[in-house]
Amino acid sequence: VNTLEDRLRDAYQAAAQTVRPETIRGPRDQAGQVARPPLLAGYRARSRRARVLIPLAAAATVALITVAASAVIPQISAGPQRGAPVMPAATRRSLFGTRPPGAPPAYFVGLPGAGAGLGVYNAATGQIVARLRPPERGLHFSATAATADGRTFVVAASGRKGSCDTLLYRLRLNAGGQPGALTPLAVPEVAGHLITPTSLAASADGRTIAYASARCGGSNSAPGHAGVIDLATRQVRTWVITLSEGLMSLSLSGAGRTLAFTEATALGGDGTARVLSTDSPAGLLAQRARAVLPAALQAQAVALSPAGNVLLACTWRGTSPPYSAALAAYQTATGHLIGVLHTWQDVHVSPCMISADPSGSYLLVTDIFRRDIGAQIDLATGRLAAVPGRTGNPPVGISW
Amino acid sequence: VTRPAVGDAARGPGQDRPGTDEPRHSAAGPARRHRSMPANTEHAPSAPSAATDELVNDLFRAHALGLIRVALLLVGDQQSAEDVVQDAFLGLCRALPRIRDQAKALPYLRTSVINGARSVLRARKRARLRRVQHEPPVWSAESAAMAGEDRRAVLGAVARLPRRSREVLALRYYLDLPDTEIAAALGISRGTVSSTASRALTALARDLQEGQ
Repeated sequence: VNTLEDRLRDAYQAAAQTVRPETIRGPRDQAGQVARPPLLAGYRARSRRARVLIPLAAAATVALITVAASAVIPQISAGPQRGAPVMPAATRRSLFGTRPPGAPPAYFVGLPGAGAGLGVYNAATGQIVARLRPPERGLHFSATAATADGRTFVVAASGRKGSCDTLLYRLRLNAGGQPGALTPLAVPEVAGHLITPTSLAASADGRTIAYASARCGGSNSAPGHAGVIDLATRQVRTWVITLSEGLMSLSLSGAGRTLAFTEATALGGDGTARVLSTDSPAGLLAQRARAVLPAALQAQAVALSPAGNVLLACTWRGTSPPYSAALAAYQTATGHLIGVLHTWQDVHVSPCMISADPSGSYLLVTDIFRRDIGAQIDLATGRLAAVPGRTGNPPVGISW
Repeated sequence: VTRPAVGDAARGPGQDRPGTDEPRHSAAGPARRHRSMPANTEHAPSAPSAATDELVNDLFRAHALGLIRVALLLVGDQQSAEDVVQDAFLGLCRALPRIRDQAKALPYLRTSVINGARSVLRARKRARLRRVQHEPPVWSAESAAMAGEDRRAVLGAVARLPRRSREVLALRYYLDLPDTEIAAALGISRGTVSSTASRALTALARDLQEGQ
């Protein structure tokens, strides 16, 4: 029973640590700590008269904002779902079909679920063709990222007893999808646990790795940060995460010069998608990263094209079911909508995850309907092929 | 994806019971509470003094984060947990003039948070009947907010336990509260806490063993 009690304590701590001071909504005091919200602060000052007037004033303000927003919002969030043209075939071809035609990767890797290690999936059938156990007892896989050859992946593992650090490994698959041994990468250990299974990205050649980690181990430990590692020089550049969000869906351009990510609402963010030049000086991520897609678009997942000039984003609309979702392409430089690649209606609440293949011509989308693992989308033609799998249990942290 | 539909339902947990130091243990349904709030406000005692105001500030600075974490363990997602805690503090603001012993403020908040979490879960149960989805809990595979497969398995098994068992385990193994304080927070006897915890651990062990 003692072991079970320890496991219980550990699990509670891990879940509780997902709430961090910087992710809590509301004002901060001068020391940066969560301050008493205005709602509470205002309680004391309210007289009976104020208790009547304040709701009236609030109602009037809401009405005013509603009228103003109805005029403005359609322009700033031209919603891919509303009136935006589906991308013409010629544009598709010019954006995504410029490389020699080829088949999508045969395999992808992902984290199948609790205690299941890492899975290698057949990308056409969704079947797990191989499983890999963590390299050490106590460790668990926390994220994966693919490189351009379709067979080399970067894998993160954490959970070593008494340590908050995350270890990075290289994993190679053979032609049949069977994994070789995990090779530890000769880089400094990443401080903290990765925020989500999508908090890892690699450049095409695998020499640049990006991650986002959360504070782990109390207030004296390293703060949550985003980092970019240059494997050739072993240099690590970091930016402190002070935004009230959980970074999600990290994606590097092919050369590793641009990092894209979302502040997903599923993790307390506001849905803004941002890009960061990986040669930006260290500092606050909020100051260094540039917003590309506004919060109004509710970007849940993003993927950069190999050249970094196109940002693919899975966006959502609706505050109550049925939700609609769209996969659309935007110019990274301006955030302008290039066109809609695919739309879904009546989708569930969990965020979709997307992973672009190394050529930038195919996309793997998961978690849309939860009926299958997800779908492969040929970006040049718009053709969608379902990837079947176990109902209701799609893998997380997919990479191909 | 967006704020869960139950957000409003978390309003007003642990409404104070006039003339006592304890929040009500069986919170009313959210809609009913909403309707009753203006009346309560109308009959609310005079505004707290600056000293009690400062006390709320101090309590918020010291305990808001911890209470949000406890609420998260009970309701599964951070936004609902924040709503629950904010409402608990609102309840405290209303009740402070009647709380004779200020040392009871924190226990009051804990009980309010538990009541608020129950309201959220009840509202979700009703919402599920209408096929309204809510944010997946942090320990689910969909959420992807928490690392650790074993931890997900453990918390998944906890989520399958009865409500009271979940509350007892969270207070005992996350907050490390003694059984007497757990009993006070839940409004049950110390013996019931002990037996509930024992049964919960047994069920948990069986569930986890079967899952392997």
